[in-house]
This record gives sequence, C-alpha cells and structure tokens, in this order.
Amino acid sequence: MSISNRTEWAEHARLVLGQAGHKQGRARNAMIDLLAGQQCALTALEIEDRLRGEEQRIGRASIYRILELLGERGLINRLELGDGSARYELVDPGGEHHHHLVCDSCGRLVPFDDPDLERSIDRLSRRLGFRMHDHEVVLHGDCTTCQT
Amino acid sequence: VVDFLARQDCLVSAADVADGLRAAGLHPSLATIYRALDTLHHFGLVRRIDASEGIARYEPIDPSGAHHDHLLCEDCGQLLPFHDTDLELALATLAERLGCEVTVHEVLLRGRCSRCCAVASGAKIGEHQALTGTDAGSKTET
Repeated sequence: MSISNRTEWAEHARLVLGQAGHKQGRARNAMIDLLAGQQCALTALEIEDRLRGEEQRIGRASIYRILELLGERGLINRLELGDGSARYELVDPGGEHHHHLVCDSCGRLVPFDDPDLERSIDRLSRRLGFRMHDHEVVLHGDCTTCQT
Repeated sequence: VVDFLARQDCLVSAADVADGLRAAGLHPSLATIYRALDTLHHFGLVRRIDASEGIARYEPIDPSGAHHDHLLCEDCGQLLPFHDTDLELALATLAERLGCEVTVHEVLLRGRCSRCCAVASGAKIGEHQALTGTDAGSKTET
C-alpha cells in the first residue's frame, strides 16, 4: 500500500469510528497511527512493544479492544498464519492488498502480490459459482536469506 | 485423536473431534484434545486453519503431498474443499519468482457458496413477488 493510501486509511478509520459514535481516545489514535505506518501485519504483542514509547502506557486489554473494534468495522484484517499468533493489518479502502510468505526458519513475514495469482483465484471462483468477498494466500517455506 | 483425524477428509474443530470421540465411547476433555492437536501441529502432522471466525480447524497433512484448499461460505458457515490445477501452477510460478522454497501453501476464499447464492436470489425473487403481487410459480419458471 502506498504512503498516500495509508494516510487516507488513517483518516478513513477515524471517520468510520466517529460516525459509529465512538469517541476519539489517545490509545485509539496512537494505534491507528501505528497501523497506518506499517507495511505488513503485526501481532498484538508487536503492537504493544511499538507503543511502549507513548507517554502513557497503553494496556494489552485496550489494544485487543481497539483491534476488535477496527476489525468489526472492516478497517483491519485478522490473519492466522499457522503459528498460533493472530496478526493484524489494515484494509486498503481502495481494495489494494497483498499476501504473505512465512519463513519457517527465521519466522519473518514476507509480503507479496501477484497479478497472475489474483487472476487464477478469480477464474477459480467463477468456475465454482462462488461469490468471493475476499481471500487469503499464505505460503510457508524458506525465505531467500535463509536459503543461503 | 490421531485415529479420528486419520478418517477425516477435511477440516475439523476441536469440538468436532470431541463429538467424534464421544460417539466412539471416549470422553477426553477439550483441554486434552487441544493439547493433542497442538502436539500434532508442532510436528507438522496436521494443518491448522483459522478462518477468522475465532475457531481453529485442523486436518491431517497427507504424507504424499496431496492437498486441497478451502472455500468458506459466510452465509451457511460450510467449509468446502477444492483443488485447482491452474491455481497450483500460478502458485508454483510465484514461488519461483520470489526465489523462495515453498513447502506448504494455504488458500482460503471467503464469500457465498453457489447454493447460498441460489437461495439468496430465490429469496429476492420471492420478496419481489410478494411486493408486486405476481404469481410465484409462473415467475420462477420464466
């Protein structure tokens, strides 16, 4: 997602939550800014770590509550990549998205997008008579660094 | 748990495992089942998929490498297995382009299955007919 899209997402997220009657709060604003600055998905613990620089500590319960709220409003996706930790990343209002390779050696998450794969998924969905809303592709293996 | 999973063709939840074992006259606690599933997952013997409804599901990994992917119908909640050669080819080409050694992949499509699409469009015709007073039988045949 481009930087302008991420800024747009932060504005969009505040607007959606405001319209739904949720008052702006320090923790929520900090989380929206943090998520908007990420290139890829984060776990709740990674979010907690990165928010540690905030003047007032943001508790884990608040983090989970805000993640749930953002998820309910379709502003973030919750990803389960098979290692038992849920990860969260923002949903691009323009529909742009990527998928993930999980390196089973170093645990790194490598984002990728592939137009051929997207076309294959669209064809498959039509063939099966399935009306697709979204899809997830997760690859497991060794990243380029761990292969060397 | 191992015997039960070996008989499954697709994903099952821990609650499904408990039901299956109960039918066989066994009554392990859910905690025991989760522990067994975690161990199997740790050793790469089962695949664990969380289709984002907060329920983890498990299926045995075929040692021959044969596998399928899944469609989740968000209307009826059914998980449907599929295999698509075109998609497999696209994934193999992608792995080559990324320069990564891919051992396993998981593809999950979320949406509405063909059956629920038919039911939904049928319901819409029905609603429309109720509003306009048209004959249900003749209208659905056209």
